[in-house]
Amino acid sequence: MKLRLKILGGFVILASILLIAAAWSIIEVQSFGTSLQQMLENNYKSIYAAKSMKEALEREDSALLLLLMGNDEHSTRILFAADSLFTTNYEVAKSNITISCEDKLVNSIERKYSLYKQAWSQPLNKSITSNRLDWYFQNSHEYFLDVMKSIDEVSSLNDSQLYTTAMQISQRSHRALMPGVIALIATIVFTILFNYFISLYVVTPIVEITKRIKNFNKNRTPFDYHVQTKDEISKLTDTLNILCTNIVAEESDQ
Amino acid sequence: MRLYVVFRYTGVILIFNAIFLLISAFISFFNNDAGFFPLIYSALIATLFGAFPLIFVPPTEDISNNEGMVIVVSSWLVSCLVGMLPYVLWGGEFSITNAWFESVSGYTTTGASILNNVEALPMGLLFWRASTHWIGGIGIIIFVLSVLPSMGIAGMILYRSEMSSTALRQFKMRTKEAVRIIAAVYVGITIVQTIALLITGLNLFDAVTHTFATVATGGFSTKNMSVASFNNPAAEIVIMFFMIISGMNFGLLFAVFIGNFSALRTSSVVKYYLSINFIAIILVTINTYFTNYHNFWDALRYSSFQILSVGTSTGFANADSSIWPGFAQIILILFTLQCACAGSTSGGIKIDRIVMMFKSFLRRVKQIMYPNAVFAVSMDKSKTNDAMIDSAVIYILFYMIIVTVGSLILAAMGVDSLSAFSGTAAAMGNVGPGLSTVGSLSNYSQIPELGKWVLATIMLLGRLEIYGLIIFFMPKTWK
Repeated sequence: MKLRLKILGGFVILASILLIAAAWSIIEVQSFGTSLQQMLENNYKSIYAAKSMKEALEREDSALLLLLMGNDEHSTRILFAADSLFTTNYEVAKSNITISCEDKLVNSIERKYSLYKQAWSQPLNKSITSNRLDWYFQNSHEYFLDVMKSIDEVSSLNDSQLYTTAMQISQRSHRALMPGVIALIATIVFTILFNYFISLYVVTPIVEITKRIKNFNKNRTPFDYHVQTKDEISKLTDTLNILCTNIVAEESDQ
Repeated sequence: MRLYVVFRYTGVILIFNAIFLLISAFISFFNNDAGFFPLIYSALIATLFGAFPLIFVPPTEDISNNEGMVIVVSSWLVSCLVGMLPYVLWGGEFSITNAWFESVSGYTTTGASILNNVEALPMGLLFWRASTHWIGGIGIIIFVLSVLPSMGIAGMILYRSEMSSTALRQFKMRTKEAVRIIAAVYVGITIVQTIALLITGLNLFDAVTHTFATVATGGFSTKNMSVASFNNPAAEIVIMFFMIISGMNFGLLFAVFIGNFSALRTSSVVKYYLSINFIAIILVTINTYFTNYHNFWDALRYSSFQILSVGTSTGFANADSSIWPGFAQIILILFTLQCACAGSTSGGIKIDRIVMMFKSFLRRVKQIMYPNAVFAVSMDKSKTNDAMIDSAVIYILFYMIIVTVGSLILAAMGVDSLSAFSGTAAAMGNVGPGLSTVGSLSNYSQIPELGKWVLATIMLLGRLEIYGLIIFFMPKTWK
């Protein structure tokens, strides 16, 4: 193989190690970003919606107690505002189903909430006149706890998915970093190896050729130098061997 | 020392490793798992580093014994380095230390793991893990010599540097022929066992990976609970049979394969190997029957598997031997030190040396009784010279010194004495599982970081039969 191809081969190898490591790191960093985005969009959005639903539900519960205590106007306003908040966040959760089984849990929230809503509609229609607190604990509070439980389930499902995605991100950050580290070490080792071969198969023969040519020129010491490789250096030594032999022959003829 | 010659031959070994990395990468690719990039990048690095010296250094057949020894040791070290790359790149439980430990454990066919959750590994990495066993099983150099065209004197020197003198005694033929026989037996056993495991109900992936680990007497499983997770007595019987086979001298197995059954019948080493395993199985079965299992067949099943697993230096497990009584555990430790026959893929002191030492001891007794008589130690009808006996005895002595020193170092790091001793003995014998915290169904994850480096070095010392690694690190070798 020609010397220039060998040297080119060395640089191509060096470039390949670095390029592939860089490409891999870019892919990993990109997927790292995608995972982060997914985590925020899919899981965090649902967790936030669940938190808002719980908040709305608690407001509804407080408003219901106010209503049962007779504060009709203020409690009705709070009740409808909380219901609106709940519905908005429920829609967010419903449109953001990203985990298997999440749809069942979200549907159960809707089912249980409609039961709860039916329950608090009764005092609103003035159908509860006596023993209002007993009615609250016997009818409404159970439904309230049921809805809360379903919301908690959705929240914890997204929480665990968030943890899994975070772990994946941590893995991806490792995978994005390691090719760079390995490429760096490989490049250092390769550079040393490359330098060793260039020194052994290019520099050393050139130094030796120069020394022998000088000796030949000065004392006519036979050049007689051969290299094992079959490249430009070996062609050069062969040519110089012939040249020196011819010079000696011509000089002896004269 | 011509360093460029070492680079050239080590380059060939790297390319050979790259082929297996590439196969593992394809498995990952088709399985669409996270192991693909780590494996393909490692394959690329191995290929590039392997091919580069081949571009520069012209081929040479003329290598010295010293160069041969350095090539063999550096091939092992470089393979272990390349072997750890996919682990490090993949991450998970693999730190640099853990990846080195796992890689050395794979190539040296030790089978000791630092993984708490093996099943979390992608399929491609599991295959690579098993491949390191298979490559290391008969020795990387032997493997390469068997597939490359004739390398003349260089091939002979590399072959002699790779094989121990005890194993060489069994192969009285030309290098190329001996290498071909070893490789043919190795590949043959692999194919037959894979088919047998498929018949017992294992899927192709598990059958291949467990076959790689069995024929190499390695012990890496694809399951957290090793072979116990299959709960498949038929598969256990197949694995036991092939563990026995893999613990025998490959030259002898080839002789049997070509119809020379008398070679097997007359071999004193094989007789000792089979009878000592049989006796141990009986003793441990009785011992565990009264203490652990209360069902004779269970006791026989678990005892025979564990004894053969340790006695052939494989290291698979179908039961937790850490809970066995002291008597059974001592037998396991003795088998961890002894292991199987020379010329096999097994580690440890090896039965040939034990038999030689025992016969030499008997000769000494006779010599004392009859001072003027001349007695010779013979192994399978051929006389053994004193140099060989000396070599075996010195090897056993140094082997025990290394186990003792290794145990002391681990104990000094806070590892309990039983784990320290059994772990070091298991690393030196390339067995894998020890007792206590490093037991058959446990792992080496709780060993301190420095301890893992010590154990990995001991594994290499055991695989290279002590002298190789010591010679490699002597400054005189490099002059």
